[in-house]
Amino acid sequence: MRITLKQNILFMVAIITFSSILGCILLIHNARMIGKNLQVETEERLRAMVGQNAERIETTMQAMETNATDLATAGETFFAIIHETGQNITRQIQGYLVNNFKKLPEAIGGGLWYEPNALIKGTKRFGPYAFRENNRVKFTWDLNTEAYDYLNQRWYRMAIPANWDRNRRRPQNIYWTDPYFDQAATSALMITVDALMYDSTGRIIGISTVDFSLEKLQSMVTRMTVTPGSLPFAADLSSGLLISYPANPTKVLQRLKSLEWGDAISEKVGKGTGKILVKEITLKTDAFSLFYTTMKTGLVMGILVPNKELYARINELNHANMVTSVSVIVFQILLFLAIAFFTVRRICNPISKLTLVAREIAEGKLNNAKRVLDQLHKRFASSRDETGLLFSAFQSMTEKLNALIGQIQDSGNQVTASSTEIAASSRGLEATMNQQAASTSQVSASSRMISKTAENLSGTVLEVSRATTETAALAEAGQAGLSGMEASMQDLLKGTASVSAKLDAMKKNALVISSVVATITRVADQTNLLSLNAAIEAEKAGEYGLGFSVVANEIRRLADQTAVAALDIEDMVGEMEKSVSTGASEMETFSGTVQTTAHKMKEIGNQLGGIMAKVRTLPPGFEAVSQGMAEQSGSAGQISETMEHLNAATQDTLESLREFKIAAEDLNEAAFGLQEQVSRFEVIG
Amino acid sequence: MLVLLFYLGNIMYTMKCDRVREVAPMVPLKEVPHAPEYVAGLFNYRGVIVPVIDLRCLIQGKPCEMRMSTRIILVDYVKEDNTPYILGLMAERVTETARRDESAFVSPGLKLAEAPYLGGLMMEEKEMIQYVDLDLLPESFQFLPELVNAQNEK
Repeated sequence: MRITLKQNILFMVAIITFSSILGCILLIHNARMIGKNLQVETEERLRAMVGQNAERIETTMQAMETNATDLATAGETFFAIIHETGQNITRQIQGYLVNNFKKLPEAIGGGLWYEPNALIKGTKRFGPYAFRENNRVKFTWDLNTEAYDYLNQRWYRMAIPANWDRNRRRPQNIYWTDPYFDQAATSALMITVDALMYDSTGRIIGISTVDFSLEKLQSMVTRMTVTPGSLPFAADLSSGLLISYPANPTKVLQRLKSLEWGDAISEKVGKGTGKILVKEITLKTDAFSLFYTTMKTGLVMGILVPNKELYARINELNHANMVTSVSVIVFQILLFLAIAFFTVRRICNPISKLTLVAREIAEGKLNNAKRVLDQLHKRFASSRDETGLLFSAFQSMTEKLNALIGQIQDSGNQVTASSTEIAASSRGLEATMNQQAASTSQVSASSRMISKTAENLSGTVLEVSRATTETAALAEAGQAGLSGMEASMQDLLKGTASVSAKLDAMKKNALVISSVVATITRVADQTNLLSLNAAIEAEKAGEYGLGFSVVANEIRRLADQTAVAALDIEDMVGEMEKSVSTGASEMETFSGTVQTTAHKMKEIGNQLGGIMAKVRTLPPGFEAVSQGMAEQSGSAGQISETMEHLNAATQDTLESLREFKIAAEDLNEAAFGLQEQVSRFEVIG
Repeated sequence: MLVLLFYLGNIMYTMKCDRVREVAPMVPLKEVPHAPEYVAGLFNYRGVIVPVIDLRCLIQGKPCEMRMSTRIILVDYVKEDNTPYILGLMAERVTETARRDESAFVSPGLKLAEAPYLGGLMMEEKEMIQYVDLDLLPESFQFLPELVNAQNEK
C-alpha cells in the first residue's frame, strides 16, 4: 500500500494531538483528585471543630462536676462540724460559697441544700446560695423560702426523690438536671449539677449544686456556623431537649425529635461517646452532612452542613479547572488542524500538483502541463520557499522543453514537406515521361497505320472504279423495268375507282332498307301500344271485354314478332352497311397507295438516269488517287522508323527516374518517422 | 286481375290496371321550373294538363331513358272533394299486360316510410316483380293536388 506524504503528515499530527489530549486528560484527573482531597480535608476540619468544641464543653462540665463534688465534701464537713461542735458556722459557709464561685467563672451560681432537720434540729430548710451578677458573686437566702420550697424543685428531686430511703445510697453520686430556665435568681437557661452529701453513717443529708449556664454553650454553638446554610445544634440526650439551635431559637427546650432530622441523632444515644460521627442526610432533595458527637454528660453537639455549601468552593474549582482544560484541548486540536492544513497546503498539494505536471510531460502532453502550471501560477509564484522554487523550475523546464520540441517538429515538418515535394515532382516527371513514351508509341503506330491504310485505300479505289462501271450497266437495266411497272400501276388505279363507285351504290341501298325497317318498328310499337290500351279497356268492360282482350293479346303478340323480325333485319342491314363502308375506306386507301407508288416509280426512274450520267464520268479520277496513295504509304513507313528510335531513348530516361523516385520515397519515410516521434509531444499553442 | 308490367332500369315492376286510364306514347313535355327532379313535366292529354312523374327518378333517383317503349301511364285519381284528376307516370318498356292473382304477391317484411307505395313481391322465372300500389302513390308527393288545381284554374 502506498502512503502519501499528506497521509504521513496527517498521521503524525494526529499522534501529537492524541498525546497532548491525553496529557490534558491526566491533568484533569489530577485536579479532580486534589478536589477530592480538599473535600476530605474540609470534612476533617469540621470534625476537628466539632470535636474541639465538644471537648471544651466536656472539660467545663467535668470542672462543674468536680466543683460540685468538692462543694458536697465541704457541705459534709460543715455538717460534721455543726453536729459535733454545735457552732453556728453560717457565715463561714457563706464565705466559702462566695469564694468557691469566684474561682469558677463558668458557673453562674450554686449552693448547699440540706434535708429537713438534717443540719439543725427544727430547721426545715437550709439552702445558702451564691450567684454571679454583673461579674460579681453575691450571696442570698432567697431560695431558702417557703414559697420557693427547694425540696420540691425538680433539680432537687432529681438527686433525691421524695420516696427514696434516706439510708440507702443513690446509684450515682452526681446527677445532671434537664436544661431549664432559672425562675429564681438569674432567669438564664441552665443545667444544674447535683452532688449528693452523706453523713458518716452513709445517710443522705442533702445535695450541693452548681448551676451551669448554657449561654456559653449557645454562643459556642453559634460560632460553629461555618457556612450560611449550616445548622449547628446542641441537645441533651437524656431528656431529648434541644439546648441550642441558632437557626431557630424558638425550638430551644423543645424535643430534638421535633426537628425533621432529629431521628438521625437519637438513635445513637449512649453509644460511641467521644467519637465524631458523620452521617449523610437528604432534606427536601438537598444533601446534607451531619457531624456530631455525644458526651459522657449526655450532651450531643453537632452541625448539619449542606453539601452544596460545604463543597461549593471545591466544585467551583473543579468546574473552572474543567473549563480551562477543555478549552486548552480544543485550542490544541484547532492549532494542530491549522498546522496540518498549512503543511498540506504548502507542501503536499504543490508536490502532488507538480507530480501531475511531470506525468503530463512524461506523456508528452506539454500543453496540458502548461495549462496546469498556469492555473497554479497564482498560488505558487509569489511564495519564495522550496515549493515556489520547484514550481518556477518546472515552469522554465516546460517552456524550454516546449521550445525545443517545437523546433524539432518544425524541422521535421520542413524535411517532410521538402521530401514530399521532391517525391511529387519526380512522380510528375515520371508521368510526363510515360506520357511522352506513350505519345511516341502512338505516333509510331499511327504512322504505321497510315502507311497500311494508304496501301489498302489504293487497292480499294481500284475496286471502286471497277464497281462503278458495273453499276452504270445495272442502272440502265433497272430504268427499263421501271417504265413497264408504271404502266401496270395506271391500269390498277382505274380498276380501283370502279369498285369504289359500286360500294357507294350499296351504301345508299342499305340506308333505304334501314328507313323501311324503322317504319316497320314504329308501326309495331304503335300496334303494341294500341293492344295494351285495348287490353286495359277490355278489362274495364269486364266479362263483355273478355273476347276483345284475347284479340288484343294476339295483336300484341303479332306486333312483338314484327318488331323482332324488324330488329333482325335492322341488325343485318347494320352489319352490311358496316362492311360496305369498311370496304369503301380500304379501297380509298389502296387507291392512294397505288397512286403514291406510281409516282415514286417515276422519281426512281429519273434518279437512276442521273446516277448513270455521273458514274460514267468517275473511273479516270480513281486511277490518279490510287497512285498518290501508294506514295503516301512509303513516307509513313519512314516516320514510323524514326519514332522507334525516340521511344527507346524515352524508356532509358524513365528507368533512371524510377530509381530517383525510390530514393525520394526513402527520404520521405525517414522524415515521416521523425515527425511521428516528435508529434507525441503536444506543443503549446 | 289484370296488371301492367313495366321496367325501371333492369328491374321489373307492376301495377293494377283498374285505375289505368290509358297508356300514351312519349311526347316532349312542358318543363315545370323549381319542381322536384322526379316531376318530368306537364302533358297535354286531350286538352287536359296532366303532371307527369318520372317513376324511375322517384324510385331509383335516375331519369328514364328515352326509348320507343318509354311511355306515359295515365292514372285516374279522385280528390277529397270528389273532383277527378289524372296523373301521368313515366316508365320504361311499358309493353305488356298480364293476368295475376293478388295473392301471388308476397310482402317483403318491411315497409319504408318514404316509399309506402312499394308493395309486395312476386317471383316469376327467377325474376322479382315489385308491386307498385297506385292508391298510396300520391301520398309521396302531397303537393300534387294543389299543383293540379292551380293548373286547372288557369
